[in-house]
Amino acid sequence: MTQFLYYLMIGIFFFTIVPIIIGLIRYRKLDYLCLIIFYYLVYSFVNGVVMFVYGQLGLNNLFFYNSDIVIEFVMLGAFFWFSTQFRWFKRGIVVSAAIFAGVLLISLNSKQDYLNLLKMVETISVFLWGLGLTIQENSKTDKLSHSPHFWISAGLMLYSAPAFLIAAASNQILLLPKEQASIIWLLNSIFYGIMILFISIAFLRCSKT
Amino acid sequence: MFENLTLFQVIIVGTLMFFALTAIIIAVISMYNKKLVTEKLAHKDALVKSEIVGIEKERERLAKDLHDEVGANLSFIAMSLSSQLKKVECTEAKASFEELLHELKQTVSRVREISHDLVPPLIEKQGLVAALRDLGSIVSQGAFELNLSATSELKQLDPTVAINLYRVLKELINNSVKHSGGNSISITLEETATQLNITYADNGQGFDYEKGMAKSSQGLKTIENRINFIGATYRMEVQAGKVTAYHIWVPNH
Repeated sequence: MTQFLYYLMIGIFFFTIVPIIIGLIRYRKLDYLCLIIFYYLVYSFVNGVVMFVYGQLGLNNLFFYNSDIVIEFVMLGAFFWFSTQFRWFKRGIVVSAAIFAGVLLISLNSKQDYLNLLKMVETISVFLWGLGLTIQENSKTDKLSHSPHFWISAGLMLYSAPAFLIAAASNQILLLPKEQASIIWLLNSIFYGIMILFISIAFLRCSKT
Repeated sequence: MFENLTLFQVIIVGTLMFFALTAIIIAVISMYNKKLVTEKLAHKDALVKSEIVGIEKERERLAKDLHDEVGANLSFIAMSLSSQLKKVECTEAKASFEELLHELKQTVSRVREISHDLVPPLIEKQGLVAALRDLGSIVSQGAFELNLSATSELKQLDPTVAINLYRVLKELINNSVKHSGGNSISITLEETATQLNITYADNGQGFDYEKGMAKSSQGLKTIENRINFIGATYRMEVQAGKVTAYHIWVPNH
């Protein structure tokens, strides 16, 4: 059962290749904001594969887990930063970046293996940025469903909200029986899959003109 | 209530709740967006309607002023001049007076034309078809031929609908004459129990609608606005990217 859930999780992760292929096919049509998300997905995929290989070889892949939080924060932060002209939104990004940097410094000095507090700051920031961008797109466009940036921010929001709770409880999850922990990680993967689906839709809707 | 929940259950329920909450937030924003769009469209529609009504009222006022004031005064002056002309004995002065009188009469007739053009009196008196026939006779004086076919005179047509249809068809004729490169226009008006079907076509090369709209052509936008204003629908026949015919359906009021 645990093995099956694990492979299901890996299977969902490998679906990241779908928006990457869509992005490659529609590369010339993607605006620079969609391109940031495209490169974010490429990075996530490569990083995930490396973590998977490390895991299979029984090597410690914690470094990749932790660096992923920082790189993800920077890339998504860049996406939201360039997607807005509103000062209040940019100020919000600066404030969350400052909090993130502070927590990063504290976390690096702690004896924690997995920087779950940092992951919490990252996910809550992405959720709030996503909310800001969705509201902004709402006032900008007549048909929200036609806006690729709306699809991206909705996908990121839908993933980051539950990911926040999972990150908060990640240390406790490790103490749970393997089967229960696998179910939680699978749930996390399902939300990741939804995000991937939304980003795929965004790439299909993206058009420079 | 929650003391019997295990950590596993708390995480699962909490995660699903966070997800559901986010989905609800996104749905609420989307619904609000739809509401905003509907309100925006309704506002735009109301603006267009009041603009059309305003234009028609202004045209009516101008036509009335031209016909009743300027036209009447000019006619009176022409009549007075004509009677005074009989008293003039000097041949040279008489000739120049006659020339002046001729110019004046032409101006009177032009003022009447402009007044009729602003609000065609035939529409009110004899209906849309008669007004279009009159328009056709003017168009046919040039290199164009207008073939009008109608199942009835459409005298019972609502005056607002009639005047707007007249203006739409006039704009289409104008476009054909200016841009089509053809020499013949056909207009078919077919009245059924439920609606009035209008087909407009010319034998020209057609026009590129996208380009026309991109150039923010006032004429095309006015056509669309007027058709929407009277609650009618329309479809353009497109061949090889060019609009070659218009079909307008007006519901019976």
